[in-house]
Amino acid sequence: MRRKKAASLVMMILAIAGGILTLFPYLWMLATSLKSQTEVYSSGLSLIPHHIDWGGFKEALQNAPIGRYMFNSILVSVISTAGVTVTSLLAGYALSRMRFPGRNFIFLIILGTMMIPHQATMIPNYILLNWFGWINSYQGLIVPFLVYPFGIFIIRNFMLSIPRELEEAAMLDGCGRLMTLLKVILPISKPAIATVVIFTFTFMWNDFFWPLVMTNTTEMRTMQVGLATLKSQFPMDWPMLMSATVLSSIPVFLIYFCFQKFFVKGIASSGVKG
Amino acid sequence: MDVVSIERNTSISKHKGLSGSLKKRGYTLSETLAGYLYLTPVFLWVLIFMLFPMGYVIYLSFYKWNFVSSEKHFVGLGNYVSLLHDPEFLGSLNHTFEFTVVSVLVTIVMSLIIALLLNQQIKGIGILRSIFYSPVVVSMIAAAMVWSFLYDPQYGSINNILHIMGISGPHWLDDPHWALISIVIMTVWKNMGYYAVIYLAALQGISNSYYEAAALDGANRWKVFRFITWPLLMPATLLIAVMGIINSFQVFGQIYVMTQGGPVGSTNVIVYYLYEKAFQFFEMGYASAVGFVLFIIIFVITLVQFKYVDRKMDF
Repeated sequence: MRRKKAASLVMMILAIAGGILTLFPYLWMLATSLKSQTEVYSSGLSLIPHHIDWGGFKEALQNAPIGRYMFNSILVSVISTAGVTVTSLLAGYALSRMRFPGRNFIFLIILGTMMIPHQATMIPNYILLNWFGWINSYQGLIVPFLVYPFGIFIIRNFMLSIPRELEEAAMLDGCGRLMTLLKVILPISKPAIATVVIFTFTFMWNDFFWPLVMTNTTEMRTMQVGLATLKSQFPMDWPMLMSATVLSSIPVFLIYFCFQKFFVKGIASSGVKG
Repeated sequence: MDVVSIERNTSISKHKGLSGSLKKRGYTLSETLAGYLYLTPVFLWVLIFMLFPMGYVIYLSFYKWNFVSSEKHFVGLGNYVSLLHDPEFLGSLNHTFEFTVVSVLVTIVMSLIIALLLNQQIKGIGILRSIFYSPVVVSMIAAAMVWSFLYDPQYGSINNILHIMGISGPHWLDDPHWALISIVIMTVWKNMGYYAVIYLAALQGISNSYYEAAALDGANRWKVFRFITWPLLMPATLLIAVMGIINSFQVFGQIYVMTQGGPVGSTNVIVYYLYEKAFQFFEMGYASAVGFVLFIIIFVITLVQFKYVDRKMDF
């Protein structure tokens, strides 16, 4: 018994040590953002600044239109998340609750698109949007992301578990199909929708490759591209770069701390149960 | 009048034949039409942003084209033949393989350890779980920024800590021998929480009766892990391996921020090479050939997954 207790104590200590190691980069980022230049380049490892210096943040805001980057990222993420939610709900509903020929085949095709790497279709998509005249525009940043196969997958799998009797009752009461979806199925599906919303939003907020090639002026840059550009302009100004990084991370972190359980549930259910 | 009733009307007047054949197979025309209507946005998207680009990338890979001029020059398989003799491309492929093998193995080990640690009933385990998962949430670019600083040979904390321990650390990102390893370490830190969650879910799915039986037989901790836990985690391990491999082949953001493919090409990976060729040199045909090769590699990995992973999973 005593051995068992000792073993779990060791496990706990290991877990806490690992947790601190995992956190260290953030703490270091936060500490650096609040240190003065001289402190960053003279003292070594202190995680607590001698005195709090906002110079890094001021400099970051002067060197880059961070407000504009932020606005672009929020706009693009919010609109595409709303779009993905609608398209995933419609498609997930059709694929789970309606009966029509080819249903499973269509679902397989949608799953199949998940194995096409974005980078492989990047060039033709760029050329296509160039034909549309959408390079360096919000349409160009948003429209290719209005459908998210993984979102359809999550919603479909969730809706398959809803008992049929529920919507039959609504339909007998004279609800049309869209009404049934909105009034009966949608409220029950909130957990699945929340998962899709969070996944899409963080994916869009963090996406880098597409906004990098799609935008070519500072005004259209998203936060991630702006951040990378800042690093190439001022490769060694660590307090300023860390301040900008802190600013860029605030929105996803806020969302993460509010909706943690959905992040984890989403992966757990999608990863293991297929 | 909603969609459904409109469809009902047309079904009576026009499509008796179609409606009849659907009915024979247990479908109704209205439901069929409504289903397709709901799927229209997805159809359009798949067609415009997936199928067309897939076809077009193959088409372009047979041409030499600099994007600006209207003239495309047909070269047949020329681009692919050049790729086979292109040391930069072969190097990028090689680095991608190295990166993939090392990072996937290390990620599997690390995420399994984390999952085992987190699979305990102790107070505060929820907070620890959120901490281990948190790097997954930050963007790759933000993570790459922070790690660039951690790796700074002079002011970064890694070498400062090593210095305290009496080790003189390498010039991580500036040293061709260390640059790719540096990127692997950073990527494992960023992704391990994601895979740990998959392992954790799998661990919690293992029935307690196995462990009770093992306890009766007097098996020690290692034997329990070796003969019960590890084999039962096999489907999760395979899934993680495949996801990890696919993600590793697409590594880009951290390379772009931390090394730009350098020093002396030591972190040039396939997607970075594609990016350079397509969007810096505008060799669209050649870059398309690279893109198609990337697609083939990921396609093959996915097929292997369908064959070996899915069958062993409970759906």
